Amino acid sequence: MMNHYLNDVKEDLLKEVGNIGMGNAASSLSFMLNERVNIQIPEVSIVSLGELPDNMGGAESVVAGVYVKVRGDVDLYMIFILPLKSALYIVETLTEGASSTMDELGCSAVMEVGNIVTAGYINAFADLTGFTLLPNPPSLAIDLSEAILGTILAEVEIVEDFVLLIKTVFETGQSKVEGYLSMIPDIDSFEVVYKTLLKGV
Amino acid sequence: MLAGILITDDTAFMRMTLKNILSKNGFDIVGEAADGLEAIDKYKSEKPDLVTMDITMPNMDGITAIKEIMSFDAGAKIIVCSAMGQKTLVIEALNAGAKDFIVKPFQPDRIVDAIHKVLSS
Repeated sequence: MMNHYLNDVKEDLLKEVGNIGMGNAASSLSFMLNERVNIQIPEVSIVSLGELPDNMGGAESVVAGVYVKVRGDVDLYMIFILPLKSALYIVETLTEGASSTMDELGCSAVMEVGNIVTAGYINAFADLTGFTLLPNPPSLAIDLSEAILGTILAEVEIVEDFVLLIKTVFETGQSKVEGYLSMIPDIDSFEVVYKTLLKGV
Repeated sequence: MLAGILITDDTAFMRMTLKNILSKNGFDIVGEAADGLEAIDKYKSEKPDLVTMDITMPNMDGITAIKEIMSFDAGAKIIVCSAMGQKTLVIEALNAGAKDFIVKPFQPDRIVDAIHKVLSS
């Protein structure tokens, strides 16, 4: 069943898409924070819904989650999760001290960072495939990561009990900002991605 | 007289950032809009010399707003400021009438230079 969705060739392709997209997203984050951002090698996996929160920083931790639905030649979902401490650091840095809490301005700053980071991924993915991908405006939630992912997955209308997950972990050197960026493609519409990318091989 | 700018972006943080950059560089912020519909209304009421326009916004996206503003005023000067740097979108925005396209994140100089260039053309 799962092999239908993921084999070695497909996994490699998705890893490459992940590398380029995540690299672009990390560059954008680094530019905004004016600090070096390291990324772990993107992981591609089939994950059961129950395991998803543990893949995104732990079910029981309070996080800021930015969620973007992307439509176009393929449908996909981008999720950018920041532990609360990292989100607050970003707020203080980007607003130059005008806010240090998740108030209206703080939330707006985190949302914009989520928007730019996910766009970094989406733009690279669009360039690689030639697809046009149009994101909806981002949504932001501050909650336990389990609750946020539950809300997102309810909207995604996943019919299977597993998702295809491409994720990486961001980490800055000095400020210890961490972030988890994930792409959850609409698993069936993604066949078109494999076909497009394989043509170029 | 200072050139009047209308800032359009759905996030308050980005509006604040643009406002700070542009005010410091001698521009007059005549209005702020949080979506395409507001941008059209404020373009008509505030008559700005130039508009900065985000693309991904609720209610009405930036490309639709550019087309609407251009049909109302063919001489409108609009610069896109968006995180979406995909080629097809850049071309669509320029075809709709945008004079420049700046991909976020950007250096303050990039937007200030673009505005000077478009205003002097």
